[in-house]
Formats: sequence, C-alpha cells, structure tokens
Amino acid sequence: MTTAIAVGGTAPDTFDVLGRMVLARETLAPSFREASAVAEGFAPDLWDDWCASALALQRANAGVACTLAFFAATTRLGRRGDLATPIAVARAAQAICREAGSRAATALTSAAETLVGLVGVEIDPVLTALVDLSQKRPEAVEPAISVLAQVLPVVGSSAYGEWLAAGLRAYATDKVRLIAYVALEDPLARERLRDHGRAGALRRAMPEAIGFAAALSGEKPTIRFAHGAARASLAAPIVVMPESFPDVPAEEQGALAAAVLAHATAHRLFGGAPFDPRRLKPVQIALTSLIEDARVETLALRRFPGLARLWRPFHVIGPDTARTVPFLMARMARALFDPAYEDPEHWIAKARALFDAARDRLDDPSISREIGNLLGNDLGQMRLSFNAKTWVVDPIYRDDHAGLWTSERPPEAEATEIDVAVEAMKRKEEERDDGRPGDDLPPETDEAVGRARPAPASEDDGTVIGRLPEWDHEAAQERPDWVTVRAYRPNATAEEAVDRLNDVVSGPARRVEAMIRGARLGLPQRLKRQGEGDMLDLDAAIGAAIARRVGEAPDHRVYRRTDRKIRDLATLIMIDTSESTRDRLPGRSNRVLDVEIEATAVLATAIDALGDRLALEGFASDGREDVRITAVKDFADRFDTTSKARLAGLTPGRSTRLGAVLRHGGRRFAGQRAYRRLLVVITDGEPFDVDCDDPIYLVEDARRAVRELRSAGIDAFGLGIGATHTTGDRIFGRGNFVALARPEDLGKALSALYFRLASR
Amino acid sequence: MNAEHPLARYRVEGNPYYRATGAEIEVFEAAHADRIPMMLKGPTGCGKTRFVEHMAHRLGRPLITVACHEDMTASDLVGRFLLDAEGTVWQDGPLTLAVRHGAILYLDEIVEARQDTTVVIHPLTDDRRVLPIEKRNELIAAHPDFHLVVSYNPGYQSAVKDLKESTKQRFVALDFDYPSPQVESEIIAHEAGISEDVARLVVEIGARSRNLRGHGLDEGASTRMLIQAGRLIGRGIPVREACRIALVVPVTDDVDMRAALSRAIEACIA
Repeated sequence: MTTAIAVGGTAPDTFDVLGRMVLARETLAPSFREASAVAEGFAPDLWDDWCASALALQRANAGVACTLAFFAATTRLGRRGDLATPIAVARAAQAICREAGSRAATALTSAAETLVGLVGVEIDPVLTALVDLSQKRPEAVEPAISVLAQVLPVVGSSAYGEWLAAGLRAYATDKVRLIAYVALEDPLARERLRDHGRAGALRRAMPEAIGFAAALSGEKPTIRFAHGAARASLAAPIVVMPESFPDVPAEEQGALAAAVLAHATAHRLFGGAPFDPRRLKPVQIALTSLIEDARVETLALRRFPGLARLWRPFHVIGPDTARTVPFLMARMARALFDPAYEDPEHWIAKARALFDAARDRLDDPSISREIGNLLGNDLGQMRLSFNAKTWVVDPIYRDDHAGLWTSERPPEAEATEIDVAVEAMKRKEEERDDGRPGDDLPPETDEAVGRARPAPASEDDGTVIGRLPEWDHEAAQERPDWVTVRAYRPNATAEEAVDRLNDVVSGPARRVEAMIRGARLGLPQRLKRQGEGDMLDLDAAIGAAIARRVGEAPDHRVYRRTDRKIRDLATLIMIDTSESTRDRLPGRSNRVLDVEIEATAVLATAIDALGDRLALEGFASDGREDVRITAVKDFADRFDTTSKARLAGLTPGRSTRLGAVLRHGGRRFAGQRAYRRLLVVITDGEPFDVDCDDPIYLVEDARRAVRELRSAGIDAFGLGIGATHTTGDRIFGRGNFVALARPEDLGKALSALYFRLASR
Repeated sequence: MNAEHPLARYRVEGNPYYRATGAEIEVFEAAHADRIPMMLKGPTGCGKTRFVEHMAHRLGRPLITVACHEDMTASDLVGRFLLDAEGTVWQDGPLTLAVRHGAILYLDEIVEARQDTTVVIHPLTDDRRVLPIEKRNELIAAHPDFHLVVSYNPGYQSAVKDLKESTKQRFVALDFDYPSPQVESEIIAHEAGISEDVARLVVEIGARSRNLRGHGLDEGASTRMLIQAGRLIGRGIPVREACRIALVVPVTDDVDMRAALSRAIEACIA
C-alpha cells in the first residue's frame, strides 16, 4: 500500500492526506509547516516525491522522533538546495522501520545531515547497504549508523555495502559479534578498517605516482589492482599493483607507490628482452632477477640520481639477520643498491665484486644471467635451501619478476606469487563484468571464480518507456502510438575499456574544455553607442562632436562596453549504434562506433568539467515495436566511471529509425529549463528499418520530427559519418547537418558544433 | 616638433642572442630578400620572438611587434581618428606605420586575433603590396622594406581557433621546436649565466616536464621557463626551489600533477 502511494501519488492528494495525519499531532505541526514550505519551493516532481516519502514514513509508524528528525533534515538540507537527500533518507528509513523498528529509523533520519557531510551526493549506496542490513540483521542497524562518521571517511560510500557484507559473512551466525563488528568494537573490524585505510591511501597516491612515472619515461603506465598480491607485477604496459601493502602504514603508501612505479620505469627504460627460464634452477631464476633489478636500477640512477633517496628507505634489511637464502638475497639486493652498506658475508662481497666488475657493460642484460648463475652455484655449495614457493621479493617496492621471463607458465620460483596475481586479476575482471566493485575479503570466496555469470544485460527485452506517433507522408497523416520505445540496460564494460577511453580522451578534452570555457568567459560582445560604458565609442563621439558643431542635438550615447554571455544550454547527444557502425574504418582497426564513442567522450569530459548539462543515449531499432534506447548519462549525472563504462559498452546492431529517436529525444528535454535546448544526432547512414520498404517514408517522418522539435524550441542537429548522406540536409535542414567524409573529423566537428552553439 | 624618424624607436638595440638550430637564418634572409611573408610555427617559449628580433638586427630593419588578442580590431592595426581640440586627427596604427615607412611587422600569436581582423593583411601579402585605408580613402603602396612576419602556436590550434585558409596560404613557414638537449643547455648557460653542468641538469628537469605533455600538462616547460629557472639558480636560489617556482607552480594547479612533477625533479637531482 505504501509503495503504491510512493509511486503514484499526486501532490495535492498526497499532501492533503499527509497534512491531515501530521497536523493532528501538535508536536509535529510547527516543524511540518516549516519543512513543507521549504520542500514546496522545489520542482513539482521533487515536491511530489517528498510528500509521498513523508506520507510513507507516517504510514510505516516511524514515530514522532523519526518524523521530527526528517522534517528538520528537510528544512536544513532543503535550504541548501538539497531535497533529494531527505527523500532518499525517508524512503530508506521507512524500509528500515519495517524491519528494525522506529529507533533504527530515527537514528537514520537524525543522521541525514551527517551523511551528506560524509559522502556528499553519493548517499544511495550507503542507504541501500543499511536497508539490506536491516533485512539480514535488524539489531545491527542502529550500532552501524552510530559509527558512520568513523567508517565512511575510510571505507567510502561505494564500498560501504561490502564492508557490512564482510562482517555478515564472518559472523553469519554470531549476532553479538556481528553487532560488535558493525560498531567497530571487534578486532577484525578494526583491522579491516586499517586495510581500507591503507588501500585508500595507495589508491589516492596513484595519480601522483603515475604522473611521476610519466615524467620520467614519457609514457603513462596503466595500473590495475590485484587483490591479495604481495608485490607489484609487470606486464608492460600494465603494472598490476597490490591493493595495499599490509606492512606499510597508510602515510607511507604514497612514497611506496612512487618507488614501485620508478622501479617499473627503470625496467621499461633499461630492461632487455625477457629471459628464457628453461634449464635454470629456481634459485638461479631468483638471483638472475635480482641482478637484473640491480642492473636497471643502477642505470636509472645514472640518469636520475635522486631516485636513490626514494628507494633507500625501503632497503631495511641489515647484516645481523639470519643466514637463510631469503635474507641473504635481500641483503645482496641492498649491497648492490647501496655502496655504503657493509656486510661481513663473503657471498655478498662476491656478488658485489662480480657486479662491480661488470659496471662498464651494464647496458648488456646478459650479465644478469651470468652473475645470477654464478651466485646460484655458490649458494648451492653453501648447502642452503631455497623454497621458491614461499619466497617474496624484497625490498617491497620491487616487482615480482614475472615480467622478466618468457614462459607463459612461469617457473616454480615465481609460481605462487604470479598465480595469486593472475587469479586476482581474473576475479577482478569477472567481478567487473557485472558491474560490482571488487571484493576484498581474503580468498575464501575462491569458488566464485569459475561460477557462471548472469546473462549479459543486453539480452533482456527492454522496458517500454513510451509510445510515439509516426508521420505517414503518403497519407499525410500522423499514426498515433505507432512506435514503441524501449529502454535497454547498458552493458558493463571492462575497466580497460574505460581506461583506454580516458587515455584517448584526456588531451583533446582539455583543449575542448579550455575552448568552451573561453567561450563563456572570453567571448565578449562589443556593445556600441551605449548610454554608459567604460570606453568612448569613437565613431559615436565624433558623430556627436560633428552634430554639435553643425548645431544639431548630439546623441549622448557615445560609450561602448563589452558584455559577456553566460552559457545556458542543455544538450542531448544521441549515438547511432545500428549494425553499420560495426564497420571498420578504412585501413584502421576502429569501428565507426568507436569513433562515435571517442568523440562523444571528448565532448562529454569537457562539458562535465564545465558543469553544463549533457545527456547521452545510444539508439538502434528493430522494427516499429522495438526502438531501442540505451541510457548512458542523464542530464544531472556526472560523466564518471559508470557513465564512461556504459558509453564504452555500447554495442552495434540493428537499424536506424530516426524519426522515433528524434521524438524520443525531444521528450527527454521535458523538465530541462534552459535557454537553449540542443539535440545532436550522430549517425552513420540513412534512416532505415526492417519493417519499412519505402525509404522516403522514414526520411519524411524524421523531417517532420525535426520540425516538431523546432516548434517546441529544441534545436536538432545531425552529424553524418561517411560520404553517402543524401537526405541529411533534407531531414535537418541545410546548415544543421554536417556530412563528415572522414570519420576522424567527428570529434572536431562535434566540439566545434557545441562551441558554436554555446557561444552565441 | 622633433623631426625624429617615425621608426627610430623601433630599431633593435644590441645584438639579441640567438642560437641557430638549423638553416633558419639563411631561410629567413632569403625570404626577406623577396619580402615573402613568413610564418613561424612552434610551441610557446621556444625562441620565435627572439629569432625575429635577432633577424631584424642582423638585417638592420626596424621591428614593430604586435601581440594579437581576441579583442583586437582592424583599426587597432590600421589606425583611427582621434579627437583633439580642433577636431579629428588620424593616427597610424602599427601596421600602417610599418607599411608607410618600411619595417618588419611581427604579429605575435596571430591566431589569437579574430579571423576577420587578420584579413586586413591580405592585400599586403600578395603581389599588390598595398594597404587600403577606407576611413581616409587612402591607398598606401608598401615601402620596399616592409616585411610581414607572424607567429603561430600549433598547440592552441583547434577547430575554432585557426587561420583562414586564405590567410594561411600567403605565407612560407618555419617550424620551431625546443632545441636538442646539448644546444638547449648551451642556450640556458648563456642566457642565465650559469655553468653548463647546471644548465644540463635544468634541461634534464625540463625534459621531465615535457614528458607530461598530454599526460596532465597542456605544455611542457619551455626554453624560456628553463632560462628563468637558470637565472634564479644563478642568483643563488637552490636548484629544487628554483625549479619549483619556475617550472612547477606556474604550469599547473593540480595537486597530483605538482607532486608528480616535484618528485620527478627530485629524481634528477643528485
């Protein structure tokens, strides 16, 4: 019953019912009047939602305290322009009230403002997680809310659900310990919080470290995170990072990230071809790798002597450690790195002597093998045993050596570590497939690796979101409700695709952004013959002087000034994903769709940085009953990783029913108050659909759709890829359609179009 | 009234230092001999302006430099009527001055000017070599020494800010870029008065910044910036600090970028 009201209520009715319920209670009346006065000032749909959620909260019997806290939150957040948060909190509180009672619901509504302070707009994942918790362990909700201020800054909003889930998994049957966990009173909880802190510190440090590596080498490394890895792993151009280095405190993770990437850069700049591991013993493989590390680091230090200061703090081993192979190896690594290090061990002195003897031919990677083999034999004669399975490279900033060797299946020496890394990568990728963020519980969930994934989202039937008319040009009449528009869920894409998109896009996007920003701030309009202004309009002044001398009344408007326009526009870009966009560009490996995606991403990144409103949708069609719309980004959304993944995940297929797409686009502008509303269609061919034999029919329909848009105050523009556009001008009108013979020009054309419209 | 030559103020004093990196001096001399309009392309701070000054001095011509900007109008170049007690007087703009009396006119960053402003140079850059001044109903034939040089930073080039095709095609163009490390160290050592060793370090640091071009920075450190860093070092500012204030802080406000660049500078310092 409550849900029916929450969805279907119209404001006056809901408000009346709500008013009757609330005003009957004296304690609620004043704060209700205040809150509803604030909420009423918002857009009608938000006001509707607010009434519905308030009513639902009432009907859930959440109690006076809960309602009061909700009204107070509405008043205070509403005055700051945020009504969405109180609404979302009320909905969650209602759900929690059902499961966990009014005290828990009150705790949540009282925490609304705190939550905004902690996570800003990303409040939904937190609310979802709490509602979920209330269904599984109602008693835990209130304690969990009480420590949000400690947990959220460390864990973050998107991972909060997993934080709770980890506790639920660990203490599935133990209620008391679960409550201790969510209230941070359990040691496991504190340890995991520290883990999150370290992982967060490492992730926050990555942009700087990546920039640092790029400055050293000129190439930007691509970073992946692998869960459970102990060391970084190189698979050029990718550096696989552990999610955190457990033994290093959060504040040192930044320096460590830089040290890891500097080491990776040394391999990149000075490393040779991979070694062949066949016929080598594990200990020789490990030693060869360590000598190779020392070799590339020495070469790197010749060029960048300052790196010594970065690496040295991580060489912590001393000569007083036990005489075991792992310690000896770490001591050797230090001895070869640090000339000032002293070690009484003969074997280490020999390693140093061999390496020093090779100093004038360090450019030759084969010395690593030579020296590694010699030292390996010595170690064998010292009758020290080496367990390659448990050995982990030290110092900590070095990679796991997997990138130094040729074989797919690496030799025993590295097997354990690489397996962990590779497995972790696999899991990571699979988890990304269904759009869930990574899991960071210890590998107890290994069986999840091979589990079947749900069918891809694109295989669903789509949700009907509207029926649209179509224009029959022969009968000269409109066919009402002729076309069915369905929304399809976007495909999630791999992280790589988003990264690649980011890489391709970042440079051009900054230029476009600067350009558009310049248009806003720098494109002054010169206003001549003004009554006031900061400069003389010389022509007008001369005219006035002449007028005075000949005895006429001079015009006093002799000033000029410059005025700047503020952009106020909302843009919707619709991207053709029909089958023909699968075609490769001549002589290139990109598909037409890739070009569309990249060009759109450049503009979207730039527009996002400027804060203009932009929505993105993909379209295709499969007959009039199935016009397929894939939402990528709504006007209010940020162009963040989620939208980028959706954009990168657009897949080609089916046909182009342009008129329906244009009409649908027009409806998307409902509620967008902007001086200009701009609908841009990127297409690669003529309108065509499977159930339509008459090619003129769809063209004429689209043409009419454009006219309808125009009369509704929406500007429609077309960008056509490929040279074969004969109907674009007819549909969009001359000057509103650009045919691009070279698909590569799309980015430029799209940005230029936006620029032109933004600045006039 | 002082009978000073109208271009006397535009003589290039001293001999501006310029270290050639190719045949640009010979090419410029050849183009100048025939007064072929010349375009200098290259990133900011790589020595375009210095090259023009050097050439003006070498050829013994006065040099009029105009830094172009978006608000510039054709009358800012050609000239305008001013008011005085008696009425109006005509004041030649820099372009008219150069055309009338014979000078090298250097339009710096010509793309910054709006396209409809730059078309006033068209009649001067083909074999007509005339400048019509419609406000005075006058047609000036260019002085034989008039030579037009423009500069142009392709980094700013975009769909919107570009020269008209009809403007572009009137020029011969020289490509400029940052010099090789060896030459750049020489330049910095000379301009900043520091030892070649320190200059080499500054150049190595500059290379780090240029590596970030497109990876977070729009442009890397220019030769001009490196010279400024060198000058600060020459005045006794420690290398780290000099590089920070000359090479890091000016180019980016992004916290991560600053930290990355500082770390890379640190890596270069022994």
